[in-house]
Amino acid sequence: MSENTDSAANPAPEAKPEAINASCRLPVLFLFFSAAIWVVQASAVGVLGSLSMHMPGFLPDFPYLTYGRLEANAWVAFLFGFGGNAGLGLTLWMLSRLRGMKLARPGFVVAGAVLWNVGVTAAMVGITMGDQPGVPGYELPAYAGRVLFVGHALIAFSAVLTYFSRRHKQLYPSSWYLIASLVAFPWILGTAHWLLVENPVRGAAQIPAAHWAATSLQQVWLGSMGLAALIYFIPKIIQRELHSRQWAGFGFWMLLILGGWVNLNSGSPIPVWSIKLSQLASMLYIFVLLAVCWNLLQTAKGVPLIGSRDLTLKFMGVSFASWALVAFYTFGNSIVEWNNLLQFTYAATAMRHVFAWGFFAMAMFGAIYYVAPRLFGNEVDWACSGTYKWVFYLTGFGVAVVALAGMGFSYGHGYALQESVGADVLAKKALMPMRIAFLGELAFLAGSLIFLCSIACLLFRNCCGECNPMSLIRQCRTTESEGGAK
Amino acid sequence: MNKSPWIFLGVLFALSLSWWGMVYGPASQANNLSPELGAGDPLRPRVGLAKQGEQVYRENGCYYCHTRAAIGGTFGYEIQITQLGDDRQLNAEAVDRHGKYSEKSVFQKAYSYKAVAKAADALKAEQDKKPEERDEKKIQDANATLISAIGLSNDISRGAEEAVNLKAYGVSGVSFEKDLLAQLGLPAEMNANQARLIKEASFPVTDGSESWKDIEGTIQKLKDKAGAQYKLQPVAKEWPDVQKGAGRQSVSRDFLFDEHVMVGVRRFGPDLSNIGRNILFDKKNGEEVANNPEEQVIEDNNIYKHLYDPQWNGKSSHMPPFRYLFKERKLGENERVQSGEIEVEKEDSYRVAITPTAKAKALLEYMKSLRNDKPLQEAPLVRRKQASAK
Amino acid sequence: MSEEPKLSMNEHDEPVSGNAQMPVGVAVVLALLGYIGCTKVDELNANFASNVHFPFGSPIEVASLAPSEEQLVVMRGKALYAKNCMACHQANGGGSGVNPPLANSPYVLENSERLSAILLKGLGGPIEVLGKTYNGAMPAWESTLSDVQIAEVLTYIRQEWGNSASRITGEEVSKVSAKIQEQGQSQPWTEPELSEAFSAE
Repeated sequence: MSENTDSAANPAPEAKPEAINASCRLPVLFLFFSAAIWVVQASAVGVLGSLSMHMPGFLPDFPYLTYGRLEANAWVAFLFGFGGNAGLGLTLWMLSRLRGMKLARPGFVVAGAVLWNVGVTAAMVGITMGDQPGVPGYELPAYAGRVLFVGHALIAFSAVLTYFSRRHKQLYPSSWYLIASLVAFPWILGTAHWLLVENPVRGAAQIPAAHWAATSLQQVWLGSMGLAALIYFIPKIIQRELHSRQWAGFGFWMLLILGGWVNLNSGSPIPVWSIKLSQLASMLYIFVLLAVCWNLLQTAKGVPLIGSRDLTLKFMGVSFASWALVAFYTFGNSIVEWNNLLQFTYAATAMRHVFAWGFFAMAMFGAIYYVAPRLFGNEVDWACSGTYKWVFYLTGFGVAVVALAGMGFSYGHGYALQESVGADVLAKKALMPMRIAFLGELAFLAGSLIFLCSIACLLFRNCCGECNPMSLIRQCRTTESEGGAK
Repeated sequence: MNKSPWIFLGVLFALSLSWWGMVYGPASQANNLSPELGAGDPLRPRVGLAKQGEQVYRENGCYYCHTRAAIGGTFGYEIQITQLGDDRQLNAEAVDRHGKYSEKSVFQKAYSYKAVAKAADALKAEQDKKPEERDEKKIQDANATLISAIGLSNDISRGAEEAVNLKAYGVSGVSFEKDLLAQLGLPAEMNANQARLIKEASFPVTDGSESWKDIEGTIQKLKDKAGAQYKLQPVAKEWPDVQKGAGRQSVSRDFLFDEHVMVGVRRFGPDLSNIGRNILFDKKNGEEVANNPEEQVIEDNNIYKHLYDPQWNGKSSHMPPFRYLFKERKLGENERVQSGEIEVEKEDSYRVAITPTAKAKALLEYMKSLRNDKPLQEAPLVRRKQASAK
Repeated sequence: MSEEPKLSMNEHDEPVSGNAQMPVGVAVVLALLGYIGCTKVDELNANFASNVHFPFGSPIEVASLAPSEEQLVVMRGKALYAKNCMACHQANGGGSGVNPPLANSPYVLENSERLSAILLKGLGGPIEVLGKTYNGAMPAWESTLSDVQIAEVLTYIRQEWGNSASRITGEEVSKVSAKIQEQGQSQPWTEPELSEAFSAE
């Protein structure tokens, strides 16, 4: 608040919220709608994959539908399809609003978004045909990686221009996170693409590198975008100021420093020092947990989040709780016995689901519920907005089930792995948490279907007059020329 | 934190920390790893079918359910002294740390064997020379050692066993100098005896229950001070992966030539780090099946059948079947399989003849190449705990 | 949870951040935690060595596990034996058919120069070993194996199967090689030639 010295010279005038919303309409809605399609795809493919695990005789004659490929596809669809589209759309909107400026160069965003979706589609087709690079958590084939890189660069160009278009305002913590996610993504993608897919590093060095890429994509990239949404929407909707800028900064830097280190399996066949450093990082992750939780809890003191009347706030409440749970699990991984017990079980996968669906998707669903109708201005007609609460209940139920399966039922598998039991006992113990989590995955599928219908309903009801492609492009041109004139 | 450009730089710096630790550091270390094993063939990259199999493994995402990493467990060390050092006092001190194995008789006996064998060698060496070249000093020293060894031996335990051992060697009575020289003229016999004596002189110091902390002092003393030679053998205590068939834990060098390292993150199926040995070796007598082509075919077919129908033969596997890796043909009644085909009996009692495709063959070859039964300097093979009798 | 959430379209102000400070006590506790963690890593990092893997804990431990030079020589010799010699002399050193045994054989255990000479130039014709006459043809190895490798194989066969004779070094083999060169022996030895060139002992 006190540091706005360099900008007093010639502050650009602040744009009205309605004007900003209008400038974001086409690109952001395009991203949101793509996200809605991908999230259905991700959950459907995930369910299909789990089915082939529960009923081994299911679809055995199609190489394209084998568990390993479906599993990779599901995560690519979620991470890049849903995470990228929804996260980048929200990034653009939040950055414009926080800067008080119209979105710069929306044409670049549309071009980038098209490329991005082409890239994700190419990745899905590639994996189905057997092109996955063998890195769980980062399954992009080489060509898809290149396309995504360019797509992201185009979108990020617009975001960074918007960010720099005005200098006089205090930087709200959410914009730190958003900038971090924009900078981190090309780095992580570049490292994973170059050092794991195109030109793999030698031997065992791929193990920590792959872990770094997968963990950073999750903790740093998705994490930054999700936390930006939490830190933005919770104070905004309850109309209080964020408790502490200092706490926020502490949590932010700690997340960036530690995000890529944490959660390495203690049994990985790499030198002990890597594992010990990872355990240290997991331990220090309690800093991030404390900083974020303290800040948000103090901000929302006395206000029920999950029990609130506002649906966005409900979403944010569950999202926040899921994030805290995963952060606590990460901290737990610094305890060697805990890590030894749960490594190679369903626990890590379940926690990834909780992070992906409970934290990130919930934050995005909530944010989209808030943002999407406002992009149309006050005259919006969203008849089926009432169904949106089912997105909340279903996804929330799914997250609860998966979390329970992961944290409650993986121990049996963990203990069985530590004893010299036979393969059949082991198989039963390994399947137990997955069978329970399957219920959760079905709920994810149902929730994301409703989400898609809801978004589709919003889109088609409101742009019917102008929903032919030509008028959309014309509109895009006008907003762009207006942006350029300033 | 309102200065926009600094955020960019700060983010880059913060990310570079974990990048350095998880990507750059390990990569630069991995570049320095050598395939040389010190003895025997160096580690080699996969070639041919096995290399293609790596791709089949990857494209089907096998690593989502199988790991290729045998992990460590708890274990103890067995120290086997293979050659006693010359400094007797220090040897004794080192061995004395381990209460139950420092019974004087074991150690002293070993020592006296060694001394006798060594002195006999020296005497024989002198005897081999022409009379005028013989070194009287050396002969005297050797004799003195023999006297002290026998004297000592008699001091410590004058038991019948001891006497027999020494007699077998040809040392008895008081006029041993003359007797010995006379009897050393029998080379073959002497060598056999000597070999036995030296073998008996190598003996275990610990029983495989002590951890590194317990034996660290002993090792330092034996190696640096007493000049003894020893062998350390890790013995599994609670080491499930070794009990289930891995030779040792997997280490960095196991992945030296993997193009894409697929260690895996979950174990819904068994760990495959030593699956190659399971296929190539008979589980009962530990002999290589490859020496016996017929048995090798049976082993291979079992894997094929498992891939084709994991639930075959009532197995409780929950692996999805990989039927698309095979060409299948339903067999009529009394029809027999042709060569190259494998017969699988389905539950509802009809039979199928399957032919593995090139991909299935490559996958099998890749599985055979997954072995961690080769000792490395940084990871010797671990001895399994004896299965408790039930 | 009691009331139905409603879609509200009113715009909220952009959030701002407050200036609450982190309590000093908390900062101290966190710093302490970080310090403890770092000391722990300092203790357990195994000098950042690239060859120390769980469950081993230190470079000294791993160095102690590695076989000594003497053991390595025998191991290398064993590998060479398996590759070059095993077909005729068998894994147990017992020999087969026309190929004499190595276990307990005086030709292996006695005069090391004679043994080196046999490997360097090969051996043909009848030879009596342990009371039995063998009539095989052993090839010369000097072109296939280096002197050091020959020494390693010889050390292995002199210390395996109950044999227990002294180690042979590469230099010793080289010396023998030079000596044979002087003598002008180019064909494989026969038993009489061998006894003439090298004494039984």
